[in-house]
Amino acid sequence: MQPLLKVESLTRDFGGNRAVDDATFRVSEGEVVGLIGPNGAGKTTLFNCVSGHLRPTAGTVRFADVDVTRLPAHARARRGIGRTFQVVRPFRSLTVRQQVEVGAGVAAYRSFLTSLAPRPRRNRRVDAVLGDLGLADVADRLVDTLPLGLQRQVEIARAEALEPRLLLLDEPGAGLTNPELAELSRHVRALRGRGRTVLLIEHAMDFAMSTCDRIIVLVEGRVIADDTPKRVQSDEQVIAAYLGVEDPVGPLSEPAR
Amino acid sequence: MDLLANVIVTTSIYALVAVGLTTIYGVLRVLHIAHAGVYAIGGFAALLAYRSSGGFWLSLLAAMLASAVAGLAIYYGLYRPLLDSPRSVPLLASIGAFIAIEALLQRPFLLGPSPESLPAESGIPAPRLGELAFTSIQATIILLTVLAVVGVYLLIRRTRLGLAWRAITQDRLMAASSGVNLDTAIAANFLIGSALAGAAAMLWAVYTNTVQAIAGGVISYKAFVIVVLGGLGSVPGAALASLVLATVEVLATRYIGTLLPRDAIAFLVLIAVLMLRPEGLIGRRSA
Amino acid sequence: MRGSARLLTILAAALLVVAGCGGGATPAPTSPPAKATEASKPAAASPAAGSPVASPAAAASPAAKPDASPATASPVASPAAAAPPAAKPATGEPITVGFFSPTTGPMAADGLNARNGAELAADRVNLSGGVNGRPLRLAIYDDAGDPAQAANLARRLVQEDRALAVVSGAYSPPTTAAAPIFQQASIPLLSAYAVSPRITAAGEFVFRAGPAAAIEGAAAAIFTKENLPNSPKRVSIVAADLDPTIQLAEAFKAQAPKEGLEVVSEDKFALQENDFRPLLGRVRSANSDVVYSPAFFANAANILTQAKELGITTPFVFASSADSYKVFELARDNAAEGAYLVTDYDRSNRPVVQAFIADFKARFGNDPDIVAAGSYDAVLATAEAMRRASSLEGRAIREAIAQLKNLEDLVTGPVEEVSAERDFVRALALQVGRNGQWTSFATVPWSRITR
Repeated sequence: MQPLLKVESLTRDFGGNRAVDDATFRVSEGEVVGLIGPNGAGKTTLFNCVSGHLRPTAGTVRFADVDVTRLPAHARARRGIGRTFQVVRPFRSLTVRQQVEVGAGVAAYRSFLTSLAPRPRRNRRVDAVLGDLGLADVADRLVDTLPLGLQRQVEIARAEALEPRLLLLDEPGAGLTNPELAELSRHVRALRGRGRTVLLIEHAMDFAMSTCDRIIVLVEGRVIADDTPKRVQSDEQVIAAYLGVEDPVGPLSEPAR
Repeated sequence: MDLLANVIVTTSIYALVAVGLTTIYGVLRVLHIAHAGVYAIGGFAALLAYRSSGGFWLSLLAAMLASAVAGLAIYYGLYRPLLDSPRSVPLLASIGAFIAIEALLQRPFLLGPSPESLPAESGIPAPRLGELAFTSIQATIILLTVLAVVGVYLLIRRTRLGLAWRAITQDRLMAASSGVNLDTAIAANFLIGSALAGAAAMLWAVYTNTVQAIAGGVISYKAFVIVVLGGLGSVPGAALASLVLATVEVLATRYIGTLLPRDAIAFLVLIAVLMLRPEGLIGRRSA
Repeated sequence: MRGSARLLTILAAALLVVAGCGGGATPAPTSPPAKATEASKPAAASPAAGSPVASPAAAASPAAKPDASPATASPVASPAAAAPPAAKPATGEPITVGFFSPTTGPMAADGLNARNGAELAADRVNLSGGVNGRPLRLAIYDDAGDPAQAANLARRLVQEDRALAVVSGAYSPPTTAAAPIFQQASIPLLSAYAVSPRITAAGEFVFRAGPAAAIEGAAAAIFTKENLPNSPKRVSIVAADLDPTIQLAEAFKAQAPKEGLEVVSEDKFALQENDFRPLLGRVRSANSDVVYSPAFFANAANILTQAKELGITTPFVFASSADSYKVFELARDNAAEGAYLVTDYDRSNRPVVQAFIADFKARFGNDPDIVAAGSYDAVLATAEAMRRASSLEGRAIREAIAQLKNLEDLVTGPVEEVSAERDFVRALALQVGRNGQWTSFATVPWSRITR
């Protein structure tokens, strides 16, 4: 399998704080990879550096054999890096359909003149994604009138509508109930079935362990393990630094520092 | 009947300034005080173009162009480098830019401190609808404003750019990760909003035959009142609030007169509406 | 999100309230008043440097042609009562006279004209011998129309510039704020054109060259009754909502009953208003014979244009605050023809006035107006008092100003004497817009006004 994403020696500082410290890893085409670590380990910062919302202090991000380290977020999105956000921030002005339309690239345009062209009335891709995620019935409702579980679905639908080669999911399971988590897990596996490459941040361990092909463990900005879920679970360094001895699969709270 | 014409014209000018302001607030979350400076620059450009050509439409074009350029310059020079700082920083920068533009325009080698006259004629005939008579410039203002406001509304509702603006309004990061180029979308917003302010400056200057370096101040603070009244970021809200403010102002001046100065009315309306409907006139924020 | 939106709303409202105070005046620069350096050098002391704005006449300076008689060198030096006939350029240690006017902010147009008038006067004084041989040096400040800034610069004039006398080319609020500071420092202040009674109320060191509001407003009522066609009875008042113009309206109202006039409506508008149509509709329905409007020149032009547009034919009488050629420039369709103006700026054919107009135009490119003429005269009168004073000590100068008499050649018209209230005693003029300029129409003597 080809490495789709190559992160090399990536470092990001905030003032004097090093949030990500010399992180190196790869994600191959078709893989579902989990990025786990305690709060404050630098997971979201790492995500932001991959998606282009942050510039790394040092190191490179290569996507499909192209160095994208200096590209802005929208340009990476157009190359095929889609992502969701951890916090759902619905505002009052968009319906579910419009939100997914944005994701489908309807709002993206090449030039000022083409931006003034009328947007298509109906977008087949949007309809398909709405159907896939069971959102067709609520398509014309404002996002902020939906329950949290559905809002998450909308967020994933938006990212998926981009048909990204690499999908970054930032804590898709946070705040979901167990049945909702099971549904999510099914859905992520279905994504893999369709050949989508996924990199996800997760706190719910059993979800991560059961869903991912591979787990990368980030502690204090450094990659301390990168292996199959099984081997990661038994990695002593991981257990010591992060998982805790007694409850290796329980939900996690504060990092052990 | 003069009054009705007056209300419509005043509404139009307020709406032209406020629509740009409200969309800029939407995408950038900055109270764009320097819009007043952009407005003043439009008036100045119109004056220069009028003096060298004598044409109404050419002067209008010059005003829109100059304001658009000024708006873009403010975005690229001022707000863009400050995008990630706390919101008070661009606000202060904006106030500074406004004061600087006004002071600069007052220099004698530019517009100078004196009001100047702009007696341009649009050539649009003065229509009469039964009792309701409009002068030529009134008709021109109303016509152009309807075109502009409907145009912006369609732009927002129907085009890719409009969807991009709404996405940015919702969540800038989310928009970027969906392929929306924040930079060009926000710049386009400044371009269009500023051009509208320039048009308003030119039209009001002709209507009152006055071009002034300090012209932007009063109209812009009213536009801010309108933007807040209409619900921050809402174009139909801004249009409705323009109508409300213009009506109250004109009628109060006509029938209550001296009780309070016209410009104070804006604040009374603002306070009254905020007390009754904190989301603004068309807030549809469902909790 | 919601919280921050509300916070912003509140912030916006607060900001707007601040911005809206003072009738939407522009934010006044808060920097300390800048001193205009180009004018602080006495023209005669460095004549060749003769600032870039100097008129050709002034540039043909005494240094270049030391023996040229001032009369041929420049109309500036045309014989005037205020200048002694022995006209030799002044040399020696300069005498500092303070001057302030609003050269930025909403009043900047007037402030610049006032400053130009003062500079012209200082140059004229210096070209004709200065003050007993010593050149006059103006220390010039910008008050931005802001009383706080005026108080600041007054302290600087007292403490840093050590001005021996001060001329105010500013409007009433800043002059009122500055006056007590000069009073306390025993430095004479001569206000050029501000009308508020509170200015001279500061004390015996504060004088007024132009008419007080009470005088000018009363004169307006007298003119309205005696000189306007069709002997009007019903009067509407439309005043700019600012201290001096409100004072004028009050004075008119006080005098009106004595002249048999009835004030049937009274309205105010913000200084920066430029759409008067709703207000004019109100005036029309008051059905008055004449409108008295203490307003500023831009207001006046808008009022006249829009009244004409609405088909209102009632005559308008404006106050000296609107005394500017700009009214004609800004009014459309000759709307200013037939408008009346009460002023003390004498637009007659007297040579001294014609010379002043020609010289001002040559040097600054525009016609002088009341603020320029008033400031010019105030500087000349101050110089004249200093010449006559027993010493250059504050009290001596004060006494000399109080005793000024028969200043025939001031461009704002002859001054008979200085009243016990420290106002310059003079006739007032009614002028009418004719062929694009203000033209003499009638005058009323001081004695008739104060009768």
